[in-house]
Amino acid sequence: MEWVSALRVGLNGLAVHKIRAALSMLGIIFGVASVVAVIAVSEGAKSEMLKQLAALGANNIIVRGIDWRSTGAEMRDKKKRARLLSAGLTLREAQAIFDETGLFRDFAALTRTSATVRRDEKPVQAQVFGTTPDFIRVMDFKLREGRWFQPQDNEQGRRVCVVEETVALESFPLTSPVGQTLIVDHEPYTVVGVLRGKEETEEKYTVVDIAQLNRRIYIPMTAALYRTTREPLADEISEAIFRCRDAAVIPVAAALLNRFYETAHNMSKIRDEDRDYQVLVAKELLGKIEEAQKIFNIVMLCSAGISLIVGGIGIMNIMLANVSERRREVGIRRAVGATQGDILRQFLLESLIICMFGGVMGCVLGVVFTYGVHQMTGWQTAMPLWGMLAAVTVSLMDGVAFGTYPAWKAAQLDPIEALQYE
Amino acid sequence: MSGASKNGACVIKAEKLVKTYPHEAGEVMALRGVDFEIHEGEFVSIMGQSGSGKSTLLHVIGCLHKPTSGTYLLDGVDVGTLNDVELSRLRNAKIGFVFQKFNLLSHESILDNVALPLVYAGVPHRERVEPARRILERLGLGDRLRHAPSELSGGQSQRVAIARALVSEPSVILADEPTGNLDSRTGEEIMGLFTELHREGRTIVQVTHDREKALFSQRILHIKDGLIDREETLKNGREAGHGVG
Repeated sequence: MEWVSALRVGLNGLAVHKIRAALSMLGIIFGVASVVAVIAVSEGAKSEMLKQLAALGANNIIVRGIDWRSTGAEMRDKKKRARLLSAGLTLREAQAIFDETGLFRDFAALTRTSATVRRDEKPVQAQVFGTTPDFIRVMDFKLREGRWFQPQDNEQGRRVCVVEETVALESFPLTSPVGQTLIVDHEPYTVVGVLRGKEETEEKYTVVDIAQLNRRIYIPMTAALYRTTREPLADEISEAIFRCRDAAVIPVAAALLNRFYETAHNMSKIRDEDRDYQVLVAKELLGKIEEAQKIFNIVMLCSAGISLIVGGIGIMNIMLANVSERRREVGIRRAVGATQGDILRQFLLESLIICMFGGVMGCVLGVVFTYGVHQMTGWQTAMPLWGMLAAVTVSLMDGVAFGTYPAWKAAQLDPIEALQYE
Repeated sequence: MSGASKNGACVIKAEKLVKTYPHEAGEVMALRGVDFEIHEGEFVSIMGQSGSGKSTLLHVIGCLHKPTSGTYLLDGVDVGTLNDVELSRLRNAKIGFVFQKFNLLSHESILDNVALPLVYAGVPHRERVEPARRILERLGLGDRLRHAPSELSGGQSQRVAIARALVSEPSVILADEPTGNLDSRTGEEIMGLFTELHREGRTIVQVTHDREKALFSQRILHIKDGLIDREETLKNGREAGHGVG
């Protein structure tokens, strides 16, 4: 028998008991819906992660200085004295470690300033950061227009700045910002470039606040340092960002940086959380976010598994009833020449049709379900086509797993006994 | 050996056919060594009391069951050696069943019912419709092609069943009490149809316990206790048969 005929036979068989077939789909529908939701949530998480990784730099290790001086901790506390006396992170230090090891491709430093920014007397909402010329490469940021800093900008401490797209759009809505002037703490800075905006995430719990990132103004490091202090020795930075040669060296490099700063800052006896620096690995940070979603995924996959098993048993039940009710039909078909294989195929196909419909309806429910999860938890979700296909495939596998036994039973029926069935 | 008519090739040749069934107390021997031949174009009736083994014989002839021992050749094929697939294919190609209870698929149209054997012969849907329609028209059911079997009278249902038995041009039409569920007038009509088919040269074997219906055929094999008790030749059809040799 060809497949088209087999499919017609299968559909006809199900059409006889529409409600029964629909009910037997329920388990499959919920199972598939759960699978779809899991895929949607984890795909959403993955795409969020990629956005954040793009903002942090996938292979970057960030050493962030923590300024304890402003916390007013006790000078007498021996353990805390070291960090109170520490000068924080310095550019020289970062340069030294970069030069000494071959683990990093390049590095950049960031220093946060408290400068206020104005444009024609109107305040601009932005954070000003001094940075080194390699920054754009380390972060893999892209320019929308204009240029990034050149070494001379830094060496000569030129009053130039590069702004993030959001700042540019707000401050210069009608003209190109390049060539325009911004007042940073009473000093005029010429805008030389605009960075392309980073894709913002809607995730509530993030490692980087991309919205904040999009409100930055960068000025050359030297300009920033001389702006805050006239002393050229005070090269304190707030962040050093090291880009590893490849992902494989990240753990080694992170350990090395920890050891280096521990020694250099005399912090070996001080607990991690009390130290004046923090070594942050982008990938590790994101891993922590993943944990929460992993639990959700496990719960959902368990419920998907249970639904699919229950659904499968439901289908087996219905199909066994079908087979026993339609024994005479089996007898007739056998008498006119159906092989055992033909009968097996017919009933198996009916299971598969149930699962197919269940799978498709499960996908629809899964999308609704995913939307609900998004509404309740605020997690970002994504529904790739392969996810739907995978879910339907799972349901079809369920149909094969639980439909084979009833179909086999039908095929094993003795034609004569089947014909004599009333 | 019976001196059966030699007007055609031997379609069915049975030698020492034995069929046993497992039963609570050991085995039941339904056939105890049956020998006979049926030739092309013959119309033969198998008669016997219930429990005589006539139904078992029909099932063996129809390739629904294999004989326990002995040889059964259908168109020269030794049925006893076949597996399920080969047996099914053989049934599909060589046997056309007509049952007492019509055995139509209630959820399919008349046309699809008639075309059913072609489904398993691997004929594509489009090519199945035409032969099925032609036969139904010939049997006077051309206006009922899309009807459901439940809309038909008993006589019409049996005509549909006969159409189904004819559609794949089988070597033998096997009828199991074909008039058992019909009133006597309709039964006569169906027997008339069989006679007509016989005149066209088809080989027909019917099982019946009704002598009146058996008289339509050329030859009657009387079965008793799993053996052919006697053979009766009637002056019927195109040629007269012979008595027991």
